[in-house]
Amino acid sequence: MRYELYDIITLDDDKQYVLSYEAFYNEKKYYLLIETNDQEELLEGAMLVRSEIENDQTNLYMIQDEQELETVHNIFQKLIEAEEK
Amino acid sequence: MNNELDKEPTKIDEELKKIEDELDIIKKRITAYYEEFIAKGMENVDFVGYERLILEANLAIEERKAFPDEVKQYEEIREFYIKEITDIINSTLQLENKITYEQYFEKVKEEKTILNLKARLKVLEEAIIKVTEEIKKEKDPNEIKRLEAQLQSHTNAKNKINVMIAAQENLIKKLDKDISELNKVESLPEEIQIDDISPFVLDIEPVANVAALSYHDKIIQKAKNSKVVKGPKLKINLPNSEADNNIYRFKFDGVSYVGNRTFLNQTLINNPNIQIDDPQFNLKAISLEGIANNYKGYNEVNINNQNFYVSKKGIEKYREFFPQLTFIPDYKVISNLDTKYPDYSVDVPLERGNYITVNVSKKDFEWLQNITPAISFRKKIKGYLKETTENLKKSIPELSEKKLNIINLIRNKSSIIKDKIQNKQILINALFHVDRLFIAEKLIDIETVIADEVLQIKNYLEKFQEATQSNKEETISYLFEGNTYIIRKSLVESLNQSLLPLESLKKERERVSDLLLEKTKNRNKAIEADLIFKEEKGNYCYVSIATGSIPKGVTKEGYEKLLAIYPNLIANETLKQAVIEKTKVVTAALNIKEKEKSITDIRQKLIEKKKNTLSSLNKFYEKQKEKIQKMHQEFKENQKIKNAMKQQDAIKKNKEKIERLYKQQEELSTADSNKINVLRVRHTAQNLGLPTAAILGVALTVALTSASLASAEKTQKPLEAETAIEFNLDNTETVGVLEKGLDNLTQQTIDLTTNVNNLTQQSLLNLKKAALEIAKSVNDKEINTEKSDKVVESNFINVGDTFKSVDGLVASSRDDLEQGKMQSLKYDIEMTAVKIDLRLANGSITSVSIFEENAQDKVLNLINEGAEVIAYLGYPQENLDEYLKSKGQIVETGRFKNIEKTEQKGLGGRS
Repeated sequence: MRYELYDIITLDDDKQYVLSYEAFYNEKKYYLLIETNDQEELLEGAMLVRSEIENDQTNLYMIQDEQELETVHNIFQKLIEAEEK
Repeated sequence: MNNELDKEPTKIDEELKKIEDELDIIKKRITAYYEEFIAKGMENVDFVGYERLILEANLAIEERKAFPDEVKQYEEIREFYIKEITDIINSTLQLENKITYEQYFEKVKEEKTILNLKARLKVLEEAIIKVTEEIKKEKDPNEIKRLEAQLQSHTNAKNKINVMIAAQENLIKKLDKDISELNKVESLPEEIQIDDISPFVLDIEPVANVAALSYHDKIIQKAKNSKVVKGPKLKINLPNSEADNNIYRFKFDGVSYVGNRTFLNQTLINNPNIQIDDPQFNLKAISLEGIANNYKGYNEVNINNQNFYVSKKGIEKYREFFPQLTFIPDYKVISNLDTKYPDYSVDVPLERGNYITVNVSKKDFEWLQNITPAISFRKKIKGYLKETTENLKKSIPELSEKKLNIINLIRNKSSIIKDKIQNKQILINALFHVDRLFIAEKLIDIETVIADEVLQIKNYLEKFQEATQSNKEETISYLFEGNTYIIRKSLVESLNQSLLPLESLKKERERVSDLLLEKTKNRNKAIEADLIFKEEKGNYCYVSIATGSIPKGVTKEGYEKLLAIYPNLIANETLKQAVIEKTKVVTAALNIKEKEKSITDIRQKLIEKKKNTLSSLNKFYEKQKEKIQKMHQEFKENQKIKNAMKQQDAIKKNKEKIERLYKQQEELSTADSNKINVLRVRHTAQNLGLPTAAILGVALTVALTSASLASAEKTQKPLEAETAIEFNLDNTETVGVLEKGLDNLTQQTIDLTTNVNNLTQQSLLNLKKAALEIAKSVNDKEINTEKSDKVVESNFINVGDTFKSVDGLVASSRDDLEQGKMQSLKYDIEMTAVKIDLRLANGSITSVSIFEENAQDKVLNLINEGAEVIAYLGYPQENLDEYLKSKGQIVETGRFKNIEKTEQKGLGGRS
């Protein structure tokens, strides 16, 4: 299965997240996941993950590299700030 | 005078003849009109076109009831055509009446001219006078009666002729009046001829069409009221900019000139009296008025809103002068064209972007083309046949009726489809709440119905098209090209309209089918998974295949099977570590429809909660960063521990090696336990420092032995434990272990608690000596020198001097050689001057000379391959040097630099 922006997924922490923003960095796709409560509202929980397609399957990975995390964090910050109301 | 008199009648005659000629022309024209009408016949006048257009308008009104504005437009169109028809019929009838009078007039002219009547009257009058005189003379009453009857007859005849003359005079008066009327008729613009009001105008789009028609109407009205016939209007607006090539009209000495501003400035204004002789200027400097005067005519030319009336040549002149002169035709053009015998139908551009279609002669068409490039050719008029008209008369109502039928059918079908679509929508709404499969089947049923309906419509259309074709489509498209198009277009549009919902239905069905397929797949997966759960029950790991479902324990095989079905499977506990990095996604739990709806909602929420999102992102970032750092720290610590453990292992191994070596040494020593007393001093690896310790294993071995060692192998007796002394030269601990039998020694010679640093050479020496003394006292045996020869090759005896290399290599001394006890030993100093003996893994023993290339590496390699160091042999440098010198060899001092002699002299002791 492949995921798209605004998909709602359930992770192994049994929480639901919305694929809220997406960004590309270093030829890879990253998502900012925002925790949600059955689509009713957006919660405070957030997560930055890297999406990788393996065997036609999208897997999401926690970012383990500090440098990578920092860069992606900056990208998403700018992305959100640029969002027009 | 006579001449003048003669001339006068000639002049009058000329005038009379001129008038008569003109009358003749008029009469001929009247005749021609009449003949034309007779030839054509009223029934052949093409009213069909109008009827058809009215019918079209009616249909359009019917079709567009929902759109009042359009209905209004079509009502206007309809009214217009009705009026047109009425006008044409009326005017035709009027013309016909006039021509009936003319016919009568012609008859009178031929048979009963006024002259004849008057002559006859004169005869009658003479006859009456004659009869009247005869009556007066006659006496016979009968003859008088006869004469009176004759007189009465003549009088009646005379009166009759008088009446006839009066009637004829009236007739002439009326004819004069009619001729005058006909003159007026002649001046009517010919576009009111039925042919000129072309039905093809309808090719223009409806809205524009109305405008065009109303403009057409105005033109006709204007033309009807206009008695002055003028030519086309040519218009030019000279630009106002100051560009040098602009043309201005100006007056100089009362004459108008045209030129550009440069010319105006440089020639006329600066030199008001200049004689203009510039040829180019002369060409330009033709006054507008001059052209108007030289080429008088009725064609209107408008330059900068000033009008000039010129002939066609004049127009050409102006166009030569102003190539940009544009032709803006108006009704005058049309009224001035020869439309009586048209060859072409053309679209003439009008003001406001409209066009009017006019039938013109070939000559006029060419002229129009020349003067008005914007004119567009439409078609040739030829082939305007009576038969065609009749066919059209027949086919139009039939086609219209068919069209109506088709439209009605389509409407009915559309309404059926609409109902079905509504039902479908209801079902779709229900689809997401009840069994989808069931509803999908229903949907397919509905679709089949709709498809049937559409098929029927298509059949109707085909039939209609066949009917159209069989109805001489060629003729129809030839004459009613535009309207045929309209009929088809409306049909196609209706059909497309009907097919639109079908398209969306088709898409919906595909979507539903996809959903169902996915659902079926998921169901099959779940069934398969249930089976696996049952068959592969175990506790390898616990697996949950859907959100919220309780994880079930499966075997490893079961887990793998499940993983094949659900690649994103969650496995709890046991396997969690294996996939700890991967954030597993359990579901993407939305169907498409809900998703579409939710996307907008989510996006909106995200925008609203922008700040929250940012703060969440930052929090996560900090947390994750901390986590990563902690992880890295842990990793580093782990690494340290691992390194430490490795080091410990290495130490342990070394220790084991040392012990093993010790044991071997012990075994060797024990071999001749009766004669050999061994004192071994062992350093810990730590004391010696890595890597030397790691490589060599043993730091220091001091072996004291006697010449009786040669018998050790032979006897193979274990060394007596009592004879060994071992102490640890550790920095922190100095342990002296004085085994049984050495108690006295300990007490007498060495304070073993002394720090190793304080363990002087003298102390060692003393220790050795003591040990030897003890050994001597304990092992008082004779040495079998003969047998000792055999031992030498595999053993070494180094007693006495101690040498220590810079890297910690220490070798024992060998004072026994000096004592002569070693004479019996085959000790080849050349081979073993300074060497390291090792026992290989296969048990064999080898030696590496320090003089060899890369001696240390060789030793290291052997150790790595499992060899153990048995002993290190040192040899007094000076002795070696002497020996080598004695052998005639040059000592390479570099070699010996590696060996630092710590004790030059031998221990001197002797067992």
